[in-house]
Amino acid sequence: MLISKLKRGDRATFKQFVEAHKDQVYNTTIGFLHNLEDAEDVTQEVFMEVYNSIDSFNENANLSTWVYRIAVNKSLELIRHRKRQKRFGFFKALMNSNDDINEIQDSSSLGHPGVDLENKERANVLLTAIGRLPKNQNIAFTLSKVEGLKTKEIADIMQKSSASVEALIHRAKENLKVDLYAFYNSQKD
Amino acid sequence: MKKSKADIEKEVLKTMQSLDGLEPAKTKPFFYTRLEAKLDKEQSQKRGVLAFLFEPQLALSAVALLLLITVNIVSVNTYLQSEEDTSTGTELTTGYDDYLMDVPVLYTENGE
Repeated sequence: MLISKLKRGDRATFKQFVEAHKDQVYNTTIGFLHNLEDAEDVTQEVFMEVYNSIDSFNENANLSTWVYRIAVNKSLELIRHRKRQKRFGFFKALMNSNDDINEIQDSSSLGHPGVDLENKERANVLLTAIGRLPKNQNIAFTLSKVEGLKTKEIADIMQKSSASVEALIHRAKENLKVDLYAFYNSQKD
Repeated sequence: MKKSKADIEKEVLKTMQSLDGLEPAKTKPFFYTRLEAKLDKEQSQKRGVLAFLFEPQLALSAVALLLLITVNIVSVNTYLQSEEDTSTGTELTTGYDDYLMDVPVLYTENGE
């Protein structure tokens, strides 16, 4: 019923759908992007994609899972775009010594607004380390730890088995421990 | 001075737990209004690209241009086809003429 109304382009139904899912999508995008403005933009793009591509959605599938998948893909797309921009900015700064490299580095790493003040610094260290994980470990760990999704839900979003997702989360934890140990070991008191 | 191994491990553990009990974030007010404005803008841009289809004069001009191009292609094709047929016919006639002219008659019907 909901899907067929969405397929007809019913704006009232679409509004209800957005209101019901916007925070969930927003939290997913923050989990990957750690930047509120980027997360808001990507959340809007996710719903625009839902509105424009609902015709291609298989009604037997889970709508929420589909929306999560779009949110993850759009977030990763922006991260790739930002990395390209950063590389381009670095070379631009090398070519033109008048440019201040700090001006063209991106201003992400704002962290997650849901973290309490006491943990803010540590959470930022952890989120940065999560960003360095291999793609699938990053997705599985973020959806599990930041979004609090169950293994089965993550498996559906990633189109993998639950066992694979558990293995990815386990490897992500091990890699993070090694990464964080190296980070704190390199710091002085 | 560097931290001890135990201190680092403690810090790693605390960092790993720093996202526990994370408060879900909420979108800013009027999220749907901003989204709807973006959607409307995108749709009007799409309509802009195809606007000529909805303008009778422009649509007629486009159809006339298409017809002209089609007629042109068909004419050129027909002309080329007829040229090809004519040249093929000439070759055949010439070949026949050559056969008649060049082959000498070396013997008569009675074998002489």
